[in-house]
Amino acid sequence: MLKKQNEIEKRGLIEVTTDYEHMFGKNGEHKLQAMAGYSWEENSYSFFHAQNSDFLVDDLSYNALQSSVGLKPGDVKSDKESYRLISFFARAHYSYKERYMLTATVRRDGSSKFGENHKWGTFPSASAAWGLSQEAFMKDIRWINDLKVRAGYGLTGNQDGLKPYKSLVLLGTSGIYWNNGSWGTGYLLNQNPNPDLKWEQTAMLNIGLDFTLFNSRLNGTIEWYDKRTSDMLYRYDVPSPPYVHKDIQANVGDMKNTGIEVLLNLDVIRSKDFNWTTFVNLAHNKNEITKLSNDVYTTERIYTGDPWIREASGMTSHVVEVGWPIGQFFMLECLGIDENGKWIFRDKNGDGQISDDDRTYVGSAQPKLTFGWNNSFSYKAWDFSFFFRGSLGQKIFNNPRAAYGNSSQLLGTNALNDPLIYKLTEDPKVSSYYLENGSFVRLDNLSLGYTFDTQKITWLDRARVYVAAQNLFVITGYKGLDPEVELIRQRELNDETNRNAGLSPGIESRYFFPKARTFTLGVSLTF
Amino acid sequence: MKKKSFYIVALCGALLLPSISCTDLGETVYGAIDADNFARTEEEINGIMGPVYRTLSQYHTHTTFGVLDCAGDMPIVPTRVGGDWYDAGQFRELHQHTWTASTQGIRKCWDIATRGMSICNLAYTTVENSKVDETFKKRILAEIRGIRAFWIYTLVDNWGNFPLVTDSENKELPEITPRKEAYNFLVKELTEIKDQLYTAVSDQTYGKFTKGSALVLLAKTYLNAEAWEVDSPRWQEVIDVCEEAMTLGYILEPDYKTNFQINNEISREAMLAATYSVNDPEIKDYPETRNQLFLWTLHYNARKALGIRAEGHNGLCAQPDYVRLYEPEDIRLEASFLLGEMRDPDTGEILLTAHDRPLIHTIDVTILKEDNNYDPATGWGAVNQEDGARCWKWPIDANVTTAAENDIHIFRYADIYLMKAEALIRVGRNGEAVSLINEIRERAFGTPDHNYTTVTLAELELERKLEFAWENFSRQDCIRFGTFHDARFVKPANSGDTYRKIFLSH
Repeated sequence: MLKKQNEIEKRGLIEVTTDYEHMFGKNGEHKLQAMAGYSWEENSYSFFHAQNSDFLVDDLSYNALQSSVGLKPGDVKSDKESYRLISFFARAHYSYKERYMLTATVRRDGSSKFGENHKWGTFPSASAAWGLSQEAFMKDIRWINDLKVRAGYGLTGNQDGLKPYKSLVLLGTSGIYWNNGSWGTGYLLNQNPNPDLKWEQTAMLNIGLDFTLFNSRLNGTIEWYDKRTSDMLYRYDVPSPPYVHKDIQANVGDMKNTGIEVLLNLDVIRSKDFNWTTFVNLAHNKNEITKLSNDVYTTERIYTGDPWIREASGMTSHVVEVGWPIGQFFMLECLGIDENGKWIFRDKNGDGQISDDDRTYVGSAQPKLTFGWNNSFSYKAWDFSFFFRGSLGQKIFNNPRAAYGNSSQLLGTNALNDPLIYKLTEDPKVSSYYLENGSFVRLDNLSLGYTFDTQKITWLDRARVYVAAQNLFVITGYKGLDPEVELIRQRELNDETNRNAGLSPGIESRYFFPKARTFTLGVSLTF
Repeated sequence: MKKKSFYIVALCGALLLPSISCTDLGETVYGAIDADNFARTEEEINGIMGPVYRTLSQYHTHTTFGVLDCAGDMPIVPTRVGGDWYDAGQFRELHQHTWTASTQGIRKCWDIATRGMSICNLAYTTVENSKVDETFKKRILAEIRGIRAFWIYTLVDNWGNFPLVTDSENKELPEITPRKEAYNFLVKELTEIKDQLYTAVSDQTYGKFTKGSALVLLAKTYLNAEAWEVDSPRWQEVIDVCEEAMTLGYILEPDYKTNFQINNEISREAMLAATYSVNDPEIKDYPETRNQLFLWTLHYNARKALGIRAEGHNGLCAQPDYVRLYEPEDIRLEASFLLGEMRDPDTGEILLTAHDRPLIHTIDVTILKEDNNYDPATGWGAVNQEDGARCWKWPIDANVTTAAENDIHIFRYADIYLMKAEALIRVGRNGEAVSLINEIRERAFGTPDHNYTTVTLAELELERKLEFAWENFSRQDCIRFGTFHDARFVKPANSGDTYRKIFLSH
């Protein structure tokens, strides 16, 4: 089979803004800035695909698709869709002597994707900041160069990832049918429409502290936030009857994210020849689902996740449930393997049997702490830097080990070279046995360079030669290929599987392609 | 900028903007049709009928209602060495009558049947609201009700109690309709529509829901009324309906295989046909609309021996005792089952399985006690890849890769013969049933040498088994003849579990 396909994405954007600034007061200590604007955006996507099969020879490749009679219905496809976003927005900012600052913004956003009566949303926000270091009582504190406290609250709207036309009643082609001696094209309602679709909304409260200390050697930020997302867009399963398709797009569901971020930048050594700056950022986030039902669509718990083990198709690995984070693993709790190689599972409901009802909460794919640490050094003309990145506290389900680390498939298929092959005599099951701690620290970037002295050369402004490496090594206890697992597991590019991929993070796919380690040698010249 | 000028500009801007329709968020649809702009002509109505008829395509293909029939005595999906087809135990559960609320195969078929009903309801509303010729519209509406009646029949037979919905507008969660009420609805519906449908048996009416379809479905409904425990025995009604069906022009095809061959649309024995094409496209989210029975049953390596390209999944085969019911001279034995050595036509050698065993399909299905899938508690375990007689009733050729051309005739005229014969025997008119059964037997053996002189229910029961292998009647017939709970191959007797006669509703 040979095919040719093209996809065109077009985007048109108009943005108009107008600014105003005014300083008043005796010494211009009051400053007022205002901005108003309008933006219009249209995105269109069109797609064309043609294929043919049973070619006599492959020489012409896909450049002469007409040269076979193997053309079938479904071999030629095209599609087009578009959506539009319109916004009116305004912002006002007032500050007094850089000491007291107030900002207020408002947006009125509209998206064509939503139902007839819900296309527009209003999203205001306000924040205030206090430049502590500008106050009179702070003047004598020498070690503080700059200190600012700020707080803000705002609403934003989200419509990303929602396909257009979900609120409309539409017919699409559906297969072929036999009528009086020949085949014709069938037409069917192509989705369950939801005319009540509207904006998903996030309200965020954040409080932060920015500081520059010790003669500007240390600067940083500490910020605390609380984000509440409501009316989350999700495809809910609906029963048939009365619906014709299995699911419908609806706004139900609330989620909460609270956390702290810390950024620190320290000039450790500052001297004529040698400098060393270190930069650290730490983040901790706690995620929790706070609501999954409304008066029309209800669900207690969504089972999701698709770990694949032979003989255990259809098993899920995660739940999305009120009071728990996204990425919450929910499966049988394994207490070990007994001396005969059989599983020992916890009988959670005490009924003497091990079944799906014994599944329980066994850890989360969300990390407790993510961090980055960068160091840069310079000595005369040399420069050197390295960057560590890490994530601690998350769990990963080692699907390859679950699927292949056993002996039940050995006649005729491959198995993983793992001591489990000899130890386990039963078939594998989706259980916490394969759930591992996925914490890791990765040396993401390392670079060493030398800058030549080009002052004497008039036609060359700057010349630097460098050697760099990416992804040098990972420190982790995880037994699988790489603790940074993909979110969209490219199994069958199946809509059903990929739709919920974001709701079941932390599974290492059986088809995972490892990250490359890269070494670069380069020269940078500026003329 | 001065304050005054700023206000002037802002005002002008605000006045200008609406005139450029810069707040227009109406959606332009390119790849689909606005429902208001369709169903205006007969052609378009036929287009809407397409998906209605294609719901029938999901009835008997790869792991659909054939899975539910495993509860009977005909098909079985054993677990193969290596764990293939264990599938969380669903096929074992169906065979041994130990299914639970999480048995997937049952849920899948429930979804197919209820969705079939919903698609019919939606089409009914659309066609009812359209402005086409009244005679055409009346027939189309009757056909929709007919297809819907088929799915209601399937729900009554397999689940008993289910939400019977005939309204496509109301989106509230429907209530469960008890079996008796659904049965009464079915009888009333089929009686009402039968004279509004095509009566002719021709190329034009093939694949449609005709008067013949309504009658055969009505006969099936009456036939099982007692077994469903919804009515007193309705044998006389079965006889009457069958006699009416016999006036329409259906025939018993002289060659049994005409009903199952690749171009079986020429069969005038078909009374309700699910049509398939080798060109059937894959429909996203609903993969079972193509005829993939061959994929379900054939061994992975059998294609060379059969001269085909498709590579099977090695799942479905026949229960050994069923295959042993056939006499060697019965054409239907060879026409239904793929047995024996699978040889490479080029070398003459027997092909091998992945475990280096010769690919010889045996009638016997042998549970391997030493394999680690064996569970002494249930008696279920793994069998070798090559075990079991395969379904070769609808043979395919080298043109097929993912979809077969053969239509599946859900109901055939032969069933009218046997239903009438059964009803006659049950009311004590055995003498009249003999010729009906003999006609079927004569076709099957090619000679009258195997005809009966007298018949009882036992001969009729046997003839049904011989005639309808793989056609999804095993479970229903076993329940009606009282053998559903008998002990079978790897299944203990479970006469106490009468609740197992219907599946769990969802």
